[in-house]
This record gives sequence, C-alpha cells and structure tokens, in this order.
Amino acid sequence: MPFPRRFALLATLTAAALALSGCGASEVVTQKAAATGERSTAYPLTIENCGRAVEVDEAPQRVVSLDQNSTEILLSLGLADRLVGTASWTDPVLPSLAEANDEVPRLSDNAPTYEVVLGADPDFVTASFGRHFAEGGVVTRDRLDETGIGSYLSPTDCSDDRSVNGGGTRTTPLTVDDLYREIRELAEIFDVPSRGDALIASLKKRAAAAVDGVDFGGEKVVFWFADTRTPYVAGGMGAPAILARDTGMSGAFADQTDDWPATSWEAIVEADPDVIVLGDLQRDRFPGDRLKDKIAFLESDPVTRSLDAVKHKRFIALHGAEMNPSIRFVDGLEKIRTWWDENEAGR
Amino acid sequence: MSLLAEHVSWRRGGTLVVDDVSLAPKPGSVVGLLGPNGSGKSSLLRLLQGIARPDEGRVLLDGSDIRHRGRREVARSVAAVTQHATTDVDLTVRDVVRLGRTPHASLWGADRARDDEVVDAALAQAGLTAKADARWHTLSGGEQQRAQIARALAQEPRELLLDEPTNHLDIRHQLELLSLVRSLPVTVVVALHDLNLAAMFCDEVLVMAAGRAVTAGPPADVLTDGLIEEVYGVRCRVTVQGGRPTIAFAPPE
Amino acid sequence: MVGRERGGALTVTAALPRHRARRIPLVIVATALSVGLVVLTIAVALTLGPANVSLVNVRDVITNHLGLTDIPVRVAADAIVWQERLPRALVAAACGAGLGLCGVILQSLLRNPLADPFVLGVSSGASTGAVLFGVFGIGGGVLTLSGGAFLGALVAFGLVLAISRFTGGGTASFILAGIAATQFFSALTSLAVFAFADSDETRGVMFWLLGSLEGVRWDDVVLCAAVVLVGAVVAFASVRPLDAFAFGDDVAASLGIHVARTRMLLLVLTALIAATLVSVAGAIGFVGLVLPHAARLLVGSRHARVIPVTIGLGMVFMIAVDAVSRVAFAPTPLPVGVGTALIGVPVFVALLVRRRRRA
Repeated sequence: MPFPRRFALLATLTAAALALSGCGASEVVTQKAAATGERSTAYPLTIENCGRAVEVDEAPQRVVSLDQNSTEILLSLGLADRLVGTASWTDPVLPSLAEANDEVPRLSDNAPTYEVVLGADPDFVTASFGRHFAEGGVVTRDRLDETGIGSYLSPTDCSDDRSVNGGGTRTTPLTVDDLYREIRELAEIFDVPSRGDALIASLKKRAAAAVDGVDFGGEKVVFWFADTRTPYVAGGMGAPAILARDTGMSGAFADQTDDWPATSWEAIVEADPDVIVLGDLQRDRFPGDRLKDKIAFLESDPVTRSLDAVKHKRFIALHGAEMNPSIRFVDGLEKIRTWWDENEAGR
Repeated sequence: MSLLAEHVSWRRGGTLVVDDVSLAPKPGSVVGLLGPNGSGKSSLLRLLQGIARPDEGRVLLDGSDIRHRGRREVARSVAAVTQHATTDVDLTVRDVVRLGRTPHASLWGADRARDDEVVDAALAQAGLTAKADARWHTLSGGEQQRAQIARALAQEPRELLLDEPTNHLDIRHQLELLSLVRSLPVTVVVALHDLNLAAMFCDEVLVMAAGRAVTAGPPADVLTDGLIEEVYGVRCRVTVQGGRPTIAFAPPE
Repeated sequence: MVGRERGGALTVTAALPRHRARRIPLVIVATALSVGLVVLTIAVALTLGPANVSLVNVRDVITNHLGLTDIPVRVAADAIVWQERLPRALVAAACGAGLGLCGVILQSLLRNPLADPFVLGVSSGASTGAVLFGVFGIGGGVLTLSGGAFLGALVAFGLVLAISRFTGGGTASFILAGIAATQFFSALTSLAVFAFADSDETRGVMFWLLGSLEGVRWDDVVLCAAVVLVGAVVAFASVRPLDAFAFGDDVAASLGIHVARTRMLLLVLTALIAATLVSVAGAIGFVGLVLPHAARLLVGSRHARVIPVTIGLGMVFMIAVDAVSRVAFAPTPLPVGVGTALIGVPVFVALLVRRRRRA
C-alpha cells in the first residue's frame, strides 16, 4: 500500500523535525521595569468602570488600545512609550499625534483576535466600544482578569453599568463630562494626572471658542454616518447630539435611543433636514464611506436630490471619530464653526 | 412450528387490500401466491413478514403472534426478498450478502468466522461466488436479484418470502433459482406471475383476487382453465402431465 | 506480516513463534496510527499563529501544565498556548469528528448522499437563537450566546420533526421539512440582522454564522468532547443498523432492525451533537457533507470502517484548518467555515481524481 507508507514517512519526518526544533533552552522571562510616573496616584487603585471594579496595583507599562478614540487619548496623555499595540482605526490619526503614533505597533486596522492582542504581551487593555469585550468580540474582561491583565472601557460607552455598544441602550444622553471622566481616569491609572488635567483644560477652551456665537436657531440636522442603502444616522443620545446641542441644532432623529440607528431615505426625506452632516470615513468598507461618494449619491439619487439641503449643498463634512465620543468632538465643533462662519454668519 | 396467517385483513388508504385471508404452509413446502396485479400478493407477504400490521386477524410464528416477538428474533427465522431493492451506496456483492447476518449479531460483535462461512455458502448457492467482490452497481438486474436471494439465505431462515423473484431473470436462471429454493430445507412462500413456473415448482398455490383468497391447493387441482379465466380473464388450455399441469394460453380474440 | 484471510478481512500477524502467533487486528494498528496522527497534527497546530510563540515556549508550557516542569514562561505565551490554541485545536477536532459523524449517520439514514448535519435545520436554528440573543439581548444575563444558539437549534429540529410527521414521516418528507425549516430560520436570522442590528452587531453575528473558534475555552472542550464521545459510542453500536438501511426501510425491517425507533434515536442523537457543536463554534459547513464521502473513497462503504475513518479525518482536517485560519490573513481571523471549504474542496477534488484514475 504505497499511500499509507508515504504518509507514514511524511508523518515521521514531521515528528522528527518538530522534536529537533523543540530542543533548546527555555526563553528567559525578564522582570518588568519599574514604573516611572508622577508618583501622585495612590496604588492599589480601584476604579468603578461600567459595573466592574478595576483594580490597578501599579501604573501599567504595556497597554493595548483596541479603539482609535482610546488610542488618541493615551497618545495625547504622552503615553506613547507605554502603548504596545493599537487597533480599530476608522480615520487617519490626528496630525498632532502622528509622530508619536508612528512608534506604536498597529495590531490590526479592525478588531484584532485574542491571540494577536496577547502576542503584544500587554498588562492592560483599553477600549472605547464594549463590543470588543462582549462574547463574540475580542476577549471578555473576565478572561483578561484571569491572565492578570486589567481592562478599561470608556465611560462614554456606559449606561446603567452596561456597555451601550455591547448591547445595552442609553437611558440618559451622553455628555462631555463622560469624556472628561475617561481622560481623568486614564490619567490617574497611568499616574499622569497633571497631563490629564491639562488635556481637559485645553479641550474645554477649544470647545468654548468653537461654539462662541454659533447658534443655528433650532435648524434640523441629520448626521449621516455611513451606508447608502440603509443609512445609519445619529440618534438623540450619543455624541452627535452633543454637537447639535452645543451649536443650537435640533437632531432630526433625536427621538431614537440607539447611537446610530439604521433608517431609510424615505424617513430622511420626510424629516427634511436643513443641514446634513456627512461622515467622511477612510475605511472603505461599505458603499458611500467616503465623502465624495456620499455627495455623489445624494445628488444623483432620485429620492434624495429633491431635498432642500442637497439642492443647496448644505453639507458639513466630519470624520467618523469626530462624531463618536472622542477628544475629536472638539474638531467636530470647530468644523461646524468654520461652516457656520462661511455659510450662516451673515444671516 | 412455522409462519402462518389467520384470517388477516388489511386496509390501506381506505381500501381493503387483503380480505380475510388464511395461509398455513406446510413446513418445508413451497407455496405459490398467484393472482393478477393488485390482488394483494405483495401485501400479504408484507403481513407475513411482520413489517405491516393486519387490521384483523393474526400472523403467527411458532404459535405466537408475530407482533409480540422481537424484530431480530423474527428476522432470524423469516427472510424476505422484495421486488425493487435499490441503493445508492457503493457496496460489493459480498457486503450485500453479509447484511443477511445482521440479525445474528449481538451488541458485542459477531462470530466473524461463522459469518464468513455462511456468506460464502449463500454466494455459492446463488451462483455468485465469482462476482463476490464486484460492485453492486455493475451487476445486471438478474444478478442483483440473486444477490438479494443470497442475502436472504445468509439470514439462515426457516421461512423464505419471495415477491416475484424471477422478474428480471432469463429462463435458465428462473428455473435454477426456483429449483434452488425448492431444494432448501426452508418453507417458501413465493408470489409468482408465471403460472407454468408455479405449476412446476410449487407444492401448493393460493390464488388471490381483489384481496380475497379465491382458492388454495395443489397446482393440479387448483389451476383449471375455468379458474384461470375467472381470475385472470384469459383463455387457456390446461394439460396435466406427471401430476403437474401445463398451461397453454390462447391470445385474446 | 500482513495477510488476507477468508472473507476479506485484513489481519496483521505479529512476528511471534508460530505456535503462539496472535492476530493483531488491523483495527488496533489503525487506531494507534490515528491517535498518533492527531497528536502530531495538534503539536504542529500549536506552533502556528500570529503571536510570537516559539516551539520552545510551546514545549515549556505543555510540560509545565502536565506537572513535569516548573519553568518560568511569559504570561502571554502561556495564555496563548494553553488557554487559546490548545482548546481551539481540541474543539476543532471535536467539531470535525462530530460533524463528520453526523454526516455519515444522516447520509445513511436519509439515503441521500447530499445530506449533512444542517439538513435538520439545526444550524439555521442555532444562528437564529444566537442572533436573537446578540441583537435583542433576549435572555439578558441568564442566557449566553451559545445557550441561545443551542435552544434555537433544538427548536428548529423539533419543528422539522413535527412538520415531517404531519407530512407523511418518510425520508423524503423529512428532508423537505428540513429544507423548509432551514429557509425559515435563515430568513428570521436575516430579518433580525438587517432590520434591527446596527453595523457592529451585524458584523459580529455574521462572523459567528460562518463558524468561529475564537474565544473557545476549556469548558467548551469538555462539552464538545463529551458529546462527540457519546455520539461515537452510539454510532459504533449502530454500525449494523446503519449498514442495514442501505436498501431502504423494508429491507432493514426484514433484517431485524426497529426502523422507526432506530431512526428516531439516531436523528435525535445527530441533532444534539450538531446543536452542541454549532452553539460552540458556529455553523461550520462542508465537513459534515464531504468528509463521509472522502472516508468512503478511502475505505469503502461499510460503516464499521467509514465511521472511524470519518472521525479520524475530521479531527485532523479541522485542526489543520483552524491553524491555517489563524495564520492565513493575520491579524484578521478567517472564519473557520470559510477555511473548511477553501481548503477542503481542492483536497476533495484531488481525492476524486485519484479514484477516477485508479478505477
């Protein structure tokens, strides 16, 4: 029987090869370097984080950030040297952070696998969206705990101790305070509280300057995130609602509690918004991710081109991260301000 | 001691396909079931096999109702060959015949040596030893029929039920098969279309029409031109030679 | 020395003095070889993956956990090998064996070479159950994703049984009932996903629908192994009835098989095995349909041979596919159900070609 014999030969060779390459000295496990922080956080530190008590014994040295929002906060806090992996990038990194980001290994453009995360040998994992910590996501927080890896979920994704993105719903609207809390807590965890305060102060200042004098007087706005076939628009409780509130706009789908519910073009036409905010996404995953594709669609589609806002090209282009609960909401406000200055200031 | 039917009736879809039929073959004899299509021959065989339940009456095996006996137990005594046994599975002839040993295997395995002996013997009796390792699908219709007979023989039954086993065979194999079956120390109930074959090989015949037993008895007594015309609707001339009738049919006018 | 005895059974005669010659049945030799092959495949699979874990690390981790050594190993390496890759390999093996086994049983019971475990409606029911949990959060904290999937699978199977009973109860009506249920539950799943899920939830569920071994833990290993073991034992005990079904219900009955009882027992067993495996790893296609055919191409159609060969092939195949799924598009995982078809189809075609040449 030639077939089994050849097979047995192959199997034996493989076994031999395995055995040979398995011989060797064990890897030496190095001790982690001592933490160098401001020495102002009192460890062990316990933080209430979305229904879990996160216990931190010392400032983490090797953090993996699963989402861009979290990554940009950590980079803004000057923690690039402690970031060992990033993932889930929806937009190009903030230009001011680009240099620091270049030093940090990107594990995946989208969600990584558990093994990839572990492969970076982290001692802490952060995320902006709870789906990564849900079943079917990257890894559950319990499992990270088992391996001695702490985890942190952005409070902006938390409502009633449940992750909104991970399956819960918001019972109260998102506020900027949730975002500032995230910055403050991360700064405390990593023992850099003064940098956290500085970041918050600068964001507050920019935000105030951006909305100074901007008042749309209740004009209706639709935030269109993505997808030309089933458009995902902003509901009334998420980050876009903050943008709308601060600038005096009224969200057309403010009655929806989901952050980004799917709707139909009919519903949008019926809402007849005065302004349409278009998501300019770089990810190219669905039709109409890019800004120009969105505009092209709106202007050519027989249903949408009748819209007043489309006819008068009352479009404001924002990046994905600017419409999500991240430090870039300030950039969002600034872009709205620019548009206001160009289009509405005279009115 | 053996298989018999007592006043069995069976309804299918509202029609009475077997109507108060009794049959008690003498052990070791060959009983022919005759009758036109739809007379209930196949149905009666199914009742005798125990795979269908009569609505009235009983089928007895060794004195007790076949319904109350274990299926495996029955299969060790009663073997059946139906008309259209087809399969998509890629089996060899030997595999098919070996299936007949199924009722003899216990949960803990079988006596492989004995099984092989019986299978070889059955193959020889069916004249298929040369084709033992051939694939089922390569056999002619007649060879497949013989393989099924061999499978039935491998069950080492006391009763053998055959539903028109000669359908696909040429005349030589028809005669060989029925001779074989007759020579075995088993009781045979065989449904046949060919009246002359029945006359040649059966010790008794039961003639059925529309589910009812018309008459029963040795072929010479039963197969008269009058009966044949009554049951089959054809004219014939019957001559008896050496105790066995020969039927010569006349074409319709 | 290998000989062929009367009746065609192969034997291996030990080289012992003639007066004490014993026959070691081929079965034992083949089992030993198969076990060795599976262990070897697992060993190779443990070394493959996007994370940087060397073979030395693997060796150390395994010996540590077996209690033989106490070498300090990087926490990440230990977690990857012992908590992720090894459970995955074992669950993959269980899925390959279990789904292949289900395929063998169903193809024989239903006398249909195209039958696979999902003809029972089990996989689409499981998907619906999982999606209802994932999208609507039905069951909240009490029911896990897998629990919802398992329930959905059983509901679908129950529906198939009910429909087939009402429509005649034969194999044809069973297959048609299965098709109806599969379509129905698939539609429900699509409805839930497209109408009610946001894009993140959609993506998460879609991945599961294609089969995924991400996040598999040791308790999944125990569950799957137990279920497959039970299935294998029952299957081995049913070797003769399964052979007997070759010519249909009537012939099987005449051979002494309790047709209705045996069929129900085996169908329920198959449904439970498939439901369990699908609820842990999602709907992994191709394996249940094609592996039995591959086994038959290698060793013929007798179930006494097909069943163990299917189990062996299934284990080795799935372990290999799982390892490749980790590596092929790293860091993005390839859904295992995609890998099975992409890798399995060429291998199967090669087998077919070989057989054609030989015949």
